[in-house]
Amino acid sequence: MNTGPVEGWFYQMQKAMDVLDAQHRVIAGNIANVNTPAFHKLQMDFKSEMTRLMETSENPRDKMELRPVQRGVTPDEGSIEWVPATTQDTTTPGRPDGNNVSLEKEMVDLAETNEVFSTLSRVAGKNLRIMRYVITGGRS
Amino acid sequence: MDFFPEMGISASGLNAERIRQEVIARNIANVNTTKSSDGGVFRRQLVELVSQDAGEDGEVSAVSVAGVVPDPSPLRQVYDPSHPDADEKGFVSKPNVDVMMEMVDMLGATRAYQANVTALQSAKDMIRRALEI
Repeated sequence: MNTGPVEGWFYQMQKAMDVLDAQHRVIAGNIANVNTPAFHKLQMDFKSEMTRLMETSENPRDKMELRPVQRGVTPDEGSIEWVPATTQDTTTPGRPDGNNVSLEKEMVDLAETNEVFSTLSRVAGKNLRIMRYVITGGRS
Repeated sequence: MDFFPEMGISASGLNAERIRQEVIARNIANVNTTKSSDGGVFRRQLVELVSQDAGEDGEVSAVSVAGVVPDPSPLRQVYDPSHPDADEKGFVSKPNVDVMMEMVDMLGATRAYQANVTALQSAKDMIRRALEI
């Protein structure tokens, strides 16, 4: 379990950025296919994963941890490894050619993913700089 | 964290929309062409887009142009007996291109192109931020 001064938060942040990277890829694929007939948009299902996490976990602290997992692999019972799967959205109605990508939603999700990613990277950078300051005693 | 596949996805979107734009421009330029290179009346052309299927592990799809095919809808018949290509009843077959439809398609292609550019910029931005950690 990663709970050291560096491994704990830094590792979780790395995992969060990996998830954001995957989400960015899903969004890019939807935008590229905005005019492809009969294309069902892809989405990452965060809500059901979070619900499952909260229901199966016993330790309240465990609820927020991310662990290294293989994308798409179903976690074992009792583990709290969390990976949002990529699914096709076949329920949202589409345009006459069968395509159900909403460009506006994808652009908003893209902007949000980007903002969260840059926030995480800034926080990570800041924490690393603090650590360097501590290690060098302020003489860098 | 590997951004290059998704830059490839956005690049495929840019390519597809640009090809659509070219075909639309060709349709508009040939709205009155009664003799095309293959001898007949110019037919409106359509671009077939297909997405490469998402794989088992959730890999997302790029888009590719499957082909440029002629639109099978009927040609316009215009009554003009003095036209050199008029048939025995005086009707000339004109291309089945509706400029209004082409303009609307062009708007759609332009908007999609811009969206793909934004997605590409966003990927570049995320790479740059990751390097600044």
